[in-house]
Amino acid sequence: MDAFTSVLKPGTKEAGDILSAFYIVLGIATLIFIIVAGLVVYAVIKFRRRKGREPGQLSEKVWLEVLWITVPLVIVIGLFILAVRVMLQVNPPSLGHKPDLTVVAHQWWWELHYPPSGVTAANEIHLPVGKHLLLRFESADVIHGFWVPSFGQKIDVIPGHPNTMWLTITRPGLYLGTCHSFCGMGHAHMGIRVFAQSPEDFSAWLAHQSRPASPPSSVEAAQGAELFREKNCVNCHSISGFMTTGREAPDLTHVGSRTTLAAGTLANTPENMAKWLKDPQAVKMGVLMPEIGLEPDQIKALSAYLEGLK
Amino acid sequence: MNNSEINASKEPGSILEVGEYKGLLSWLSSVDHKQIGIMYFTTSLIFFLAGASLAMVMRTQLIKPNHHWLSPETYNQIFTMHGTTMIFLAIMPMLTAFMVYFTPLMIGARDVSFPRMNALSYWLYLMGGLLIYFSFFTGDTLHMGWSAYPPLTSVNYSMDLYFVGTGVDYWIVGLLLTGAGTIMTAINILVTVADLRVPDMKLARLPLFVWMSSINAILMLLALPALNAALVMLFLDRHLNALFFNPAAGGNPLLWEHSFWFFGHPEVYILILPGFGIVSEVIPVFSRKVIFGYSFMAVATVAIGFLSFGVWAHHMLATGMSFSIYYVFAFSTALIAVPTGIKVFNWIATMWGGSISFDTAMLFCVAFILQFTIGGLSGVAFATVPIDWDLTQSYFVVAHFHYTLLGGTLFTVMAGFYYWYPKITGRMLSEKLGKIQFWLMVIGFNGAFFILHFAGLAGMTRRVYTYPDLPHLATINLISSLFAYVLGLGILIFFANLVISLFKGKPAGDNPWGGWTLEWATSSPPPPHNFDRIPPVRSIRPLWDLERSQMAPGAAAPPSRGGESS
Ligand code: HEC
Ligand code: HEM
Ligand SMILES: [Cu+2]
Repeated sequence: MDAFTSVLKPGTKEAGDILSAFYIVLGIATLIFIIVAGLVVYAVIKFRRRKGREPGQLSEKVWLEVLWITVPLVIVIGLFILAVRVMLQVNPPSLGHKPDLTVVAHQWWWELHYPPSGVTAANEIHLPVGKHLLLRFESADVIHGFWVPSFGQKIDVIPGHPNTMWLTITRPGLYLGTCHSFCGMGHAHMGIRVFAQSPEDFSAWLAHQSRPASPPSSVEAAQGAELFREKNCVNCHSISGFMTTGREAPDLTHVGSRTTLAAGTLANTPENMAKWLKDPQAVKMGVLMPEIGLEPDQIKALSAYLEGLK
Repeated sequence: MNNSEINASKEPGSILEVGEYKGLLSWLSSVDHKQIGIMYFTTSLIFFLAGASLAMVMRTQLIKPNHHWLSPETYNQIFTMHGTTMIFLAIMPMLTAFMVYFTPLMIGARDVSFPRMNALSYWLYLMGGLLIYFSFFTGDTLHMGWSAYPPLTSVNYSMDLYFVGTGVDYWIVGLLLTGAGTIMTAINILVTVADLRVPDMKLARLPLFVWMSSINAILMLLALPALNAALVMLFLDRHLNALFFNPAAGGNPLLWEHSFWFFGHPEVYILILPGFGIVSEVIPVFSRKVIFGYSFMAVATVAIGFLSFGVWAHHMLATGMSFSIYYVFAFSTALIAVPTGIKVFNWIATMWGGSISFDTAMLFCVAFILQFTIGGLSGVAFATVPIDWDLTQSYFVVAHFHYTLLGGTLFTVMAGFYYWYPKITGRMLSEKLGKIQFWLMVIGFNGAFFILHFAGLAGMTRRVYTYPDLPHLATINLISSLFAYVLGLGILIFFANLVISLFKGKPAGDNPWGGWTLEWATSSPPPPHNFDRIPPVRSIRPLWDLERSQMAPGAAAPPSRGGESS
């Protein structure tokens, strides 16, 4: 799958618009720098101290001052107009629109709600290509930030101050991003993964996510399910069709279908799942999941169960 | 000037020999602005060394992706301390040192208006700084970034790890102390400049360094109270549950962002204006030309000072405020580029047609112009709001503000040291070490930071202890770290030079560079009372006029009316 990680590789219409503006500004800035540097270098070479030359003491030339006041002023006004145009293009007011996806940031993971379908998921976002989508951002605790470089814009995720962002993804693929606003110990491991899919694939994914969890398929997995209840995992985590009391932690209904664990910290493999359950702090320092103190066979059973939740 | 030869026999040639400055007590109890200035210099240099060492540790941690040498906890403390140290405890007081030491000398005064308050400012700064560092020993220091956004810093969530611990309290109280000191310094400088100029030094004859320091003092006076208010609110939130910033109870974390940046943006000008002043003194002297566009320079400074209070929300362009607010702040931010541009072009025009001698001080000024232009241009890019959405909080920003603060301010400070160290100590800094230092710093700085613009573009966010192995990031960071070590070496050589030259440096004489402002009219180091006599001030370059007056300096320099003003 095509991976998008960089501002310079836009994957949305909005990112493309912003990037064009960026190149315009970059061009102007480069030109200005070349002029300034050229003047400096010329002065440095030409006016080096030489014996016996007494420089003139010219102290002012008003037309020169006027020149270098007006030219920058014109440039600044031009850039301002550019800014306003792109702003309106990229992020028109969202009045009255219902969001297609609500992202709730937590220390240090992402809770996802797809309001039309009622699907709840975590950390790995799926979105359809070619639709004009409205995303809404809320925070459950501190200030976070939502930044997927190839989406162009980023937005702060502020408690008590929901924000929105428009997106029209143009290219399917995997988009990587991260929390951009320092939010505490786990900030570096608060990754974002967005799978941009064709509308059909996206609908299929959504339909799959809206199903309750599949029942355990082996004896070991059934033991795992039992442990999940016994060890109080349910206090924090929900698994739809099993127990949905916990709201403080990622929804695990389809955790087996995710490609990574703990907001992009680990690839989702049985070994890593075991590693995570053994000691989450060792994987992601500060994480708000306690070390449960599980026996190796319990870990094995739990991961068999969780990995089966496709 | 012949004065120097006459003086040389009877006056000490080095600060180490000044009788009044011997003994610890003379320093601890001093109200002499020169001693206080030197204490500011020394303290801020030590903090700078600490901040730079922390930076080297950071760059080592970031040298490769998925690096687990430091834990996130340690790294987060280090970058918070690095930012806090550099801004509040190193660069700002270093500039204050120049202001406190040179303002009275440049206007022909004997001291500042309120010498005791001057001492108090210094001691508050020192104590505040120590208090902030003391938080390291509480075992629960800062991990929040120098901007300390609540609710991360204000609310005690259910688990300890959510929450930034007692370190924040030390940070708050420490900053309140240094902040109080800064406000006092601001008042002191303003009153001194208003009150103690030699009588014929009209405002239009004020050296540009003094102009810029005065505007700077106004900024300090108006900006720091906003920070102090915010700090008090944060303290109340933490200890009395005042809920200013707690959204769950009707507070608003954006209130902090507004208050903090209402201080924070003027602060970044506070961190550059005296630097502009230094450059505006050094370039003319080493080009043997009068500053070009003096009055435009002064007016541009006033304009920057004024505008700097109307741009703070450009630090909040991604907070989702209404567009009409963005328009105002985007425009004011871009507008500030105009007076800044005036300065850059006037400096170049000063060099133009001059007879430039590239001593280390001048080299730093030339590099400063180019580097600061880069930082300024990326700043204008950020004023184009959607580009800010793209790049804010990424390593592009880290590159941007190091181009202004390090490639900008720190380079001007270096120029200031090479220019004025002889005046302060009576000894020249070694030019040989100076040139080595200069090249190491130019190469190291640009190598380390230019490439970080690309780290931001490639998707690296700031304030992370490690980063995933995305395309290009490994290479970029490796290069950046290696060059950072070169920069670090340059800084070490600077410190070596400071120490070695104090003992081994060539005697400076009164006026080694042929400077034209009043501080060069007295001995190096100046006597405790600053001036035996003051030449008349007929223009912005009194010593130039004196030189031209074709007479023996002794006869040409009757004490100007009122001589020592105090
Ligand atoms: C105190 C609440 C709490 C308890 C109890 C708890 N967890 Fe968690 N768990 C969390 C949090 C919070 C996260 C998200 C961590 C992160 O990524 O920062 C998490 C993450 C996970 C993940 C990774 C989810 C994903 O989408 O990447 C798995 C799997 C998991 N927990 C399994 C368990 C199991 C099994 C138990 C019981 C043995 C358990 N948890 C108990 C809070 C809890
Ligand atoms: C000595 C060379 C320096 C190096 C190698 C260096 C390096 C860095 C790096 C890598 C960061 C980013 C940390 C992160 O986001 O994780 C940083 C942050 C910062 N630096 Fe520097 N720096 C240096 C000097 C300076 C100077 C002279 C200043 C001037 C005031 C400064 C001010 C800051 C500030 C304010 C931050 C932000 C801290 C925060 O995010 O809270 N640095 N520095
Ligand atoms: Cu976050």
